[in-house]
Amino acid sequence: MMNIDYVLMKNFRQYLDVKIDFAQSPSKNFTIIQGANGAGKTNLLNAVTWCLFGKELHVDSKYKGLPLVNTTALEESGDNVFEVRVEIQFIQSDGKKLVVTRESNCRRGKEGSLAEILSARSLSIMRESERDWVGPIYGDDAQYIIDNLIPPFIEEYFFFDGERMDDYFKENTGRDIRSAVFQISQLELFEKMIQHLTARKNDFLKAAKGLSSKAEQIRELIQLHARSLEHDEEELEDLQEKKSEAERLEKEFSEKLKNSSLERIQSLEDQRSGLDSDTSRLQDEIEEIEETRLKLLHEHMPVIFSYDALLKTKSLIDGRREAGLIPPLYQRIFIDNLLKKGVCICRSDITGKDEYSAARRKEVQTYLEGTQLSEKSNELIESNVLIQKMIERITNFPDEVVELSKKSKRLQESKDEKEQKIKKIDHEIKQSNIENIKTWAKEREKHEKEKERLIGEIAKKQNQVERRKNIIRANNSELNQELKKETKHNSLLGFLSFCDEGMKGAQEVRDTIMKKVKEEIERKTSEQFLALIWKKDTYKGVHIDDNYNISVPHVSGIEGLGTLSAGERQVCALSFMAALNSVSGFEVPIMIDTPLARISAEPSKNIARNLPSYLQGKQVILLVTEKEYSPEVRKELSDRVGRSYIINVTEKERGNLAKVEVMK
Amino acid sequence: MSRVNRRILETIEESKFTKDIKDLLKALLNVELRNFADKNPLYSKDYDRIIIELAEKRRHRGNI
Repeated sequence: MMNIDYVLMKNFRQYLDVKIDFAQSPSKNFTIIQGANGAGKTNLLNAVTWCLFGKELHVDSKYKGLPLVNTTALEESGDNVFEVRVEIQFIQSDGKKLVVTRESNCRRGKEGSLAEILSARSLSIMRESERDWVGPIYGDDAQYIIDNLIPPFIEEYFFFDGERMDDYFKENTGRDIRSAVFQISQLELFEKMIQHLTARKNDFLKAAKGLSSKAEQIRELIQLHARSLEHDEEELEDLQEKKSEAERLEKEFSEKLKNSSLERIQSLEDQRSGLDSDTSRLQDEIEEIEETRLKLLHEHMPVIFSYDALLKTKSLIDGRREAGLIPPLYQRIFIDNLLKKGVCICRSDITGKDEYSAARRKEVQTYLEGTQLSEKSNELIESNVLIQKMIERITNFPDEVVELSKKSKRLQESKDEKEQKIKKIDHEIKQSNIENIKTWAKEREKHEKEKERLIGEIAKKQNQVERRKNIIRANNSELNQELKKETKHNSLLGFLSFCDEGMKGAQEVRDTIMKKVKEEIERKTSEQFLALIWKKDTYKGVHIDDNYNISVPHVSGIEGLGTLSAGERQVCALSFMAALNSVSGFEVPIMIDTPLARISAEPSKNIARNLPSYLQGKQVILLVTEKEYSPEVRKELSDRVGRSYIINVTEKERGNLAKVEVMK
Repeated sequence: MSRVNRRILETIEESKFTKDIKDLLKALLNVELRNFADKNPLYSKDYDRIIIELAEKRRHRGNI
C-alpha cells in the first residue's frame, strides 16, 4: 500500500504556503478536508494531479485560462522571479519515503497581471533507500518512476470529482465503460499482445517459405550411392581375389616349367623370368613419368590459360616503366625521416625560416608526395617480377613435357621389345614335344591373360568406386548446407508454433480475466449500491452485461437506470468507481472531491456508514463541504478519520488566500 | 509503467498452459506495458528476442 504522507503547496492557486499531513493508520485511514464551495478543495485535487502528471484535471470553469500562480504572490513579487511548487511525500509499502516535486519559475507579466512562465514545469524525485536518499531524479526518468506507481491511464479512477460522477453513466456508453475497464485492468495489453504476436507469426511464416529443405532428397541420394558403393567395393574385392588367384596359378605353372627336367625349357624360363621383371620395372618407371607429366600439366594449366593476359600486363608495366611513369625513387620512410630530422638529402638544414631552408623543405615534401606514387609503383614492380618468373617457367614448360614424353616413349619401346622376346619364348615353349610342358605353358598363358583382363577390370572398378565416393562427398557437403537450412526452417517452425500457442494463451487468459473482472465489478457494484442506497427494497441490484451496458433493474423487473435521481446515480457511480478501484490491483490512495454533494442527509449517513468497509485498507481523502460533513456523517466516520482539516479562506483584492487548519 | 496487474499474473499462473507459454505471456506483457504510451511502438525486436529465446529453451529441453 502506498500512502500520501503530506502535500505541500507553495504559490499554487489560492494556496500561498500550505502543508497538509494525511492520516496513515490502517484503522483510521480517512482524511477529511472540509471547505466551502470555492475554498480550494478542487484545487487541492488539481495540485496533486499537476504535481504527478503536470496537468490539472479538474479545473473549475472560473479558473480556466488563468495561470496556476497565486495572485497575492504575483502581486507581491514585483519584478522578481518566484516559484510555484507542489511537493508530495509518499510512504511506500516498504516504509521508504518518496518525494515528488514539481515547480515552475514565474515572473509578473508586462501587463502587471498575468504571470510569465520562465521555465518549463520541472519534475524531480527524491527516493529514500536503505542508507540514504537517492536523487534528485529529473524529467522523464522521474515521470517514469511516477508512472510505475500510478499509471496515468488509471489516475481518474483514484483522484476524482464526486460531483461529476453523476454524469458518468450519462456521458459514457457501454463501449466507453468497457474501455475504462480494459484500461484499469490492463486488458488492453492483451489486445496489443495478440495483435503483435499475429504480426510476428506472419513474418516468421514468410521467412520459413523460402527454406523448404531438400535434405531428405539428398539423404536418399546418398543412401542410394552408398549402397552402390558397397556393391562396387564387394565386386572390387572379388576381382582382386580372382586376380590373386590368376597370379597364383600363373606362378604355379611358371614354377612347374622352371622345374621341368628339360634344360632348354629351364634356360628359357630363366630368361623369361628376367624379362618379366624388366618389363614390370619399366612399367613402373613409365607410370612414374606419366604421373610427373600430369602433375606438371596441372601446375601450369592456370598460367597456360592466362598466358596472353600475363604477357599483356607485363608489356603495360614495362611500357610505363620505360616512360618513367613508375619510378622507384625513394622509400617513404626515408623521406619521412629526413623531414623529422630536419635535414635535406644533401644533409643541409631545412628547419630554418630563411628562403633556402624553406625551398629545400618544400622539395623534400614534394618527394614525400612522390613516394606515395612510388609505393604503388613498388607493388607493380614486384608484381612484374612475379609475372616474369611465371612467363619464364611457362616458356620452359614444353621442353620439360617433351623431355618426359621422350623418356616415356623410350621406356615403352624397351618394354615392348622385352615383351616380344617373352612372346617368342612362350611360343618356343608351346612348340615342345612334351605334352605336360605344352599344357603348362597354355595354362600359364591363360591365367596370365585372365590376370591382365582382371587388372583392367579392377582399374575400371577402382575408378568407379572413386567416382562414387566423390559423388557421396559432394552430396554430403550439399546435405550439410541443406541441414543448416533445415535447422533454420525447423527453428522458424518452432517459433511459429510458439507464437500460435502464445496467441491462444493470451486469448484464453484475456477471456478469463474479462469474465472474472466483469463478474467482480458487477458483484461489488451491486453489493455497494444496495448497501449505500436508501430505498432498500426498490432495486434488485446493478447488472452489467458483456458489453458493459449498465442497468439497475427495479424489483418489478423494469429497468430503473433512467429513473434514478441525481443522488442515486451518484451512489451508483460511486459504487462502480469503488468496484473498479478494487479490481484494479493498484495500491494508490483515493481522493474524492465532494462525494456526497448531491445526496441528501439520510442517504449520506448511510453512505458514510458503509463506505469505509468498501474502501478498506486504502488511504481515503475526502474533500467535503460543511453540508456534506454533517454531524451525522461525521459521527458515522468518526472511528475511521485519522485527520480532519478546514480550509479557511481570506478574501484579498487580487484573489482569495486559503489556509488549511486542523478541524476542532 | 512497468508493473503488470497482480490479477493478470495470478490468472496466467493458474492457467493450464506450460511454463514456457506462461513465461512468454509475462515477458510480452512487460514489453506492452513499457510501450503503452507509444502510438506506434517498436516491438518486433523485443518480441523476436523473447520468442526465440523461450522457443529455443523449450526445443533444447525437448532434445534432452
